[in-house]
Amino acid sequence: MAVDGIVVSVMTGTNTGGVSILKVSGYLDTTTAGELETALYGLLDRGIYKIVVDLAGVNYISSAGWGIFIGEIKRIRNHSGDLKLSGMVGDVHEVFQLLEFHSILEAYSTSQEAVAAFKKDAAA
Amino acid sequence: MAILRLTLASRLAEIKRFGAALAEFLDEEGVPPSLAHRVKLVIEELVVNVIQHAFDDGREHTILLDVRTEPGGVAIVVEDDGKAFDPRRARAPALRDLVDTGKSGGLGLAMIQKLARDLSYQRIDGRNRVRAFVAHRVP
Repeated sequence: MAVDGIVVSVMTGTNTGGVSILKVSGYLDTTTAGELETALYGLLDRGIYKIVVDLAGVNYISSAGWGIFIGEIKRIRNHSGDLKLSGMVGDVHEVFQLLEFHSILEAYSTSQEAVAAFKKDAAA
Repeated sequence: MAILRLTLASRLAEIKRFGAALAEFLDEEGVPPSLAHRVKLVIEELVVNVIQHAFDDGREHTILLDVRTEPGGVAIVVEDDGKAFDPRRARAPALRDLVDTGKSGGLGLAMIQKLARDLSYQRIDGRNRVRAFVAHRVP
């Protein structure tokens, strides 16, 4: 159980079919969630609503982190977009299941699968 | 049975300090990572709730944290001298309601109620005392 900060990077490109990927690493708690929030709002403010949040490098998420996803998902879907999670492992995935976040948010093993799901949504 | 006792100031920066001490304690006691993860979450949600909502006088207060390993899990006690708040009686919002309103308030309480069992509350001499037990077994 490492106690670290957080690193958030944003990837937007044509090879993801217009889907932006927020790659997050570290520890998502009350003291660090603001950095993810800033990055996410940066996308939303630019009208980007197809977003994958890659959590493969995240080892802890408190309500401050989950609250960002839960609080913004309606606005994102109202703009015909979605926020899909990818790469959750171990304890983070266990909490995702226990708290029943899967009833609200789609989750995929990899960011590539999440991007592919957007393409499938568009084709449907 | 081992005990970790910490006195925290009522500011969010303390989250990092108790997180480091807690991680070391649970590791030394051989608490499995999955249980340690849930214990950390419940403590953070309890302590953050106190820091953000219990005080309105602008002064710094102290929060007492007591963590002990017990057969079957880890017991947590959080004490503060803030406004009375019984986390058992507070109604956690449904996830769907949070989505519909675009708000996330109350999510921490929902996490506490879901991840901890045997949640108890006492108000003694103007102090809140919340006890929670996080079991080895996943709820």
